[in-house]
Amino acid sequence: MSSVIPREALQHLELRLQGAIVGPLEEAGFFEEIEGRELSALSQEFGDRKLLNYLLEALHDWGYIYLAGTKVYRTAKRPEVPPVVGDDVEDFMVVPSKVFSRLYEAVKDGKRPFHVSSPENRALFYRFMDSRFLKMMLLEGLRRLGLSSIPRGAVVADLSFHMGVVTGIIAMETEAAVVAVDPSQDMLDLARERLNAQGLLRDNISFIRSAPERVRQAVSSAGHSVIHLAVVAEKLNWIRDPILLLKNAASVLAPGGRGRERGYIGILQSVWDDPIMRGYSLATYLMGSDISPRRSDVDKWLRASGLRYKVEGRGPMFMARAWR
Amino acid sequence: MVLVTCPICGKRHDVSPSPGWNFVLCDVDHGVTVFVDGRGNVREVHGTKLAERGARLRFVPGMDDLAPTWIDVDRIRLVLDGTIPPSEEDEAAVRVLLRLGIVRYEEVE
Ligand SMILES: [Zn+2]
Repeated sequence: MSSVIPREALQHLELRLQGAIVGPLEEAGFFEEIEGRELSALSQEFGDRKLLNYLLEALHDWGYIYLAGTKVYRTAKRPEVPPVVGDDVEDFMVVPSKVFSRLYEAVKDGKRPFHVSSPENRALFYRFMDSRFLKMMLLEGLRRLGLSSIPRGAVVADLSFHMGVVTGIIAMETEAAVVAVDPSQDMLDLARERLNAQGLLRDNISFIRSAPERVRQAVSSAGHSVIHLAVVAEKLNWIRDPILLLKNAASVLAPGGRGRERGYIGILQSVWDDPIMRGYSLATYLMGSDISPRRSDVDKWLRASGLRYKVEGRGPMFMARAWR
Repeated sequence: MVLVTCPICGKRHDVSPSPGWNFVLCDVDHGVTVFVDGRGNVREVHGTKLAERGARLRFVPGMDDLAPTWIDVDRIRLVLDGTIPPSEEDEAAVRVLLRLGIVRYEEVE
């Protein structure tokens, strides 16, 4: 896996995502439906108002619609086809192309036909998290957050999990003990099999069935008392109470001092503010997450959790180390 | 863990009771496919020959493009056809594919 994603690839990805969103909306007659309409009237007619609002914001910022007063109009802009699209972009687009084909239905009827809570959608979400592009992005972020320098004797808690995709990256990058936490035994088994299939399974990796918020119990049932790194990657948009997760993770961090490194939370999170992450965020929303938080939400959650933090990167994902 | 007996050779296996289809490889040419319901009860146990006609594991049409990128789909096809004996990693890959619903247990004439 290469560790640096070229900016050009990100721009191509964004163009492909825009095309995958705008195309099906055009076919469904979405733009005719909203043309010249009041925003307030539209929100009465669509089943998923939240999705509608974010979608309109994205279409507006990408230049496909504009507002005159409080009425919406289409611009002349049509999706561009990027000149050369790399394999990694095509590999990534397999799932978004599929889920956006039913974007209109989702926003109109307020249903998410690709929600990961249905077993038949598991493969789809897994394939999405498992795309080379996303794994590169996660790997690059986690390296920036110091994952590779966590020593063998330390403990890394994977509070992100994502069907074991994140656990796999952690297992590849560090020999430290890993505690992978997820409420579903089925998903934990899947993760164990993934690591087995990749030749990454080893004795110091534990799979603990628990809500990630109950991190203290999870870590102690794996036989550890503290953690040196808590990985919270693409998780804040998947849980009900991000502050609780951060607070509880902070309470199990290894204290520093006398030559020992202080434990920290590594946060890697797509944020709505980054234009490149908007198509991505809409795709994950269709599969069951919340819309990616705004950068200001993440700041707010970190402060409300009583954490100090250092920002390690801002694009395309927000990255920070946080500690007590 | 639930103990199941292989209908083909009688060997016993511990299966972790995950809802849905589970596959345990028993010998180089066959395995046991177990269906576990939502309450963790074993509902079906089938002997699954990899090479011969009969009950077997197959890719679900239209789902193979969703196979994880790190799984060599062509190789797994050969494993399921019985052309090559599976390694431990292949078995784990087949179990991943079963859990994801990309590979399924099928009765064949
Ligand atoms: Zn047998």
